Amino acid sequence: MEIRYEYRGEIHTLQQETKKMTAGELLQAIGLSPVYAFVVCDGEVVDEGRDISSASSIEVINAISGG
Amino acid sequence: MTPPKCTICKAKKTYFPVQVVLPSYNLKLCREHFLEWLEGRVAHTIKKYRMFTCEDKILVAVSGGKDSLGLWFLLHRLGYEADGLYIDLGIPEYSAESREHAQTLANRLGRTLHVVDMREELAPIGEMRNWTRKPPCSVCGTVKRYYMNRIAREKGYTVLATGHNLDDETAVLWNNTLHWNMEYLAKQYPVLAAQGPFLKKVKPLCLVSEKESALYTIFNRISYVKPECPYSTHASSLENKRFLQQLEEARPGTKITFYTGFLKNLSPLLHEPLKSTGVSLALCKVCGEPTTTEICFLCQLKQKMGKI
Repeated sequence: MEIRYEYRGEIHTLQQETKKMTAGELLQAIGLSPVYAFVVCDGEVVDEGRDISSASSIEVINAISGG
Repeated sequence: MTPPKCTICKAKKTYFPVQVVLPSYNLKLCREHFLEWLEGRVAHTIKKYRMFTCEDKILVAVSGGKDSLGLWFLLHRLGYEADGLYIDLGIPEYSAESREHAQTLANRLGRTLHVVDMREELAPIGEMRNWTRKPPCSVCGTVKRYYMNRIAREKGYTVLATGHNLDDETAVLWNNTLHWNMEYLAKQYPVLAAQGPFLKKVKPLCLVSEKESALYTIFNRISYVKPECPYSTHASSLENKRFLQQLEEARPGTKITFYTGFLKNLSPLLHEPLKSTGVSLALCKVCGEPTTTEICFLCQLKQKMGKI
């Protein structure tokens, strides 16, 4: 399974051997924690347990910012 | 597996899917109840710390990021008179995009956005960095504080609001505690009272986490700048935030307990006016703005760069 997602204004691709993936698993796969990050799927914020599809428009939000 | 039910929906016998989980408060909320919860929390913070009333003219310092834009929208929703101030630092691409987001929200709210363009005032931040030993975030902060106070005062606003959130506040508190910087600890509070030429400064999002703030902005379809500021990649505040997030993950509620515990227990012992910390305030001999030195940082920079 190939997931394309947007992260901080850039498009990334994630190759997965599994056929299904939840939003929480996507965060884990890219090294982010649900404490400060979440997934927006087709314009809607989704719960960590929600399955995500490679056909969806996916955006990963990392809330940590600073300076 | 049965999908989780919104904590508030369950009590009201309605049902909407859970979109937000808040382990710190043991809450699972749908979109509507999350927005209601967060707006209520900010309204309570404003009242609790006596930040401002509906009589005040508020200027929100907006950077184009999620926190300040979300705050501006939220204050408008709560019925306050709030305009925005955007300081264009002249960072290639990043500033233009940030400014566009700030203007988009100003148009949506039907409010004024004041803009200060540093390329016209002095120089882009990238050029300023070459004339001082200060790290870029420190130069940026100094420049922003100078113009925020000056513009707010000149335009007749009574309160200056910034989008500092719980994560910003705990990162600063953690850093100042690690170094036992008593002067900074004494000044850390959700409200900085007006003092002479300094306007009252408030942080209405101080009890809202960075994630909660981002969710609020996204739920309200507010566009904001997504990439990180190119100059902030090595900022120590980011390291402190990441460390605190690890603690939060292991023990939900750590950040809010740390910050509110400080405000309740230690801050009253330290919270004194600026004059008691040994810092004396003067007016810059060149521009007349408040400063702790004879000539303020910005005018010193202008002199070095041959602009005055």
